[in-house]
Amino acid sequence: MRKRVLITVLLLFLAMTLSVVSFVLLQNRFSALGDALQNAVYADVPIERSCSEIEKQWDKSAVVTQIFLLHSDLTELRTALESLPELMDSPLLYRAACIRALHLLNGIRDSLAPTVENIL
Amino acid sequence: MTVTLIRLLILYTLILGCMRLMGRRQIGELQPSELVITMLLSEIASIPLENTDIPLLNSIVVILVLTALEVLLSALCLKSDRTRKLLQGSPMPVVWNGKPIQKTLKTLRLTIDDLLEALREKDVFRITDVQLAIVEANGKLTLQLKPQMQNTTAELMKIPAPQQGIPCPIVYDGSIQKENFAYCNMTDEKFQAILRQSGLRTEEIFLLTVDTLGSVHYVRKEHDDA
Repeated sequence: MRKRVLITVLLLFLAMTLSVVSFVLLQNRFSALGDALQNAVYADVPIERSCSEIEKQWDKSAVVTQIFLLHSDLTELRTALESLPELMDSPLLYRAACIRALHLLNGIRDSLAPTVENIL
Repeated sequence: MTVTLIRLLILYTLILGCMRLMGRRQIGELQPSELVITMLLSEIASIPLENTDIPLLNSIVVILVLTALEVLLSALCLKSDRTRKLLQGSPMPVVWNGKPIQKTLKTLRLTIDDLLEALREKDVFRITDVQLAIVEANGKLTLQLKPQMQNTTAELMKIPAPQQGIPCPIVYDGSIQKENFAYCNMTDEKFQAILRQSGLRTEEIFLLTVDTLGSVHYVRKEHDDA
């Protein structure tokens, strides 16, 4: 029984670690992507640079997010981000698309937080 | 399709491992907490199979936590009587000396019809024949009949019963079960002697049992000529 309990405690530890690591990883990735989007919207960064930065951050986030998040939740965000290069010629549209992507990102981010609203 | 198949293999292995970790108790009569865990496990395992949009890791973490909780709770139940009673309930007597205990029946929300039906399932048609009936924590009814209604035994008739040895399987399907040798005082020499006496090789034996009194019984393997 002792061996069984020991294995169980290790499994519990593994599950808890996975849960915490996934939360921290996602928050870090979303934070980096969010910063890139915010720079595109509010900071005076050239569109080409901001777009390549967003693309770079999304590429880094893609694997982590797909492992830990509902794929359907990500589809909308991915579509919004992938449309950005096509809108580079029109700064207004580009900015609007960035704001939309930022809202989607914040929505997913909020849904991950272990708050009472999310739990219930 | 391939994703579902791979997911299925991962989940099958995981659940099989978890069920083994939870132990034999899980496979036999289910206690309330075990029933809940088993139902939850099957539900959680089926969700990522039906919908590949759901990350498999979510289900894996939940399955691991559920298994861990079940094992830890059962370990706690072993240590603490109070926890055991709280989580698994305790056996409750429902018939005493041929009379139903109405208070317990009310507590268990059992009608007299339910009780009589459970007794009939045990081949008891008159409640007055029952000395004691108990509803166990897993919901099963166990009972003891009044002495005059019990089956006659050799002990009751004061008839000396011959000692019977306990049979031990020594060969299964051509394979020697060395780990059983100790239970029936078997040695390699004795085993070789049995083989010589029977005129068979180990590979030709389907089942060979030796009881603790030394009686040998064997079944020869049937050859599949088809």
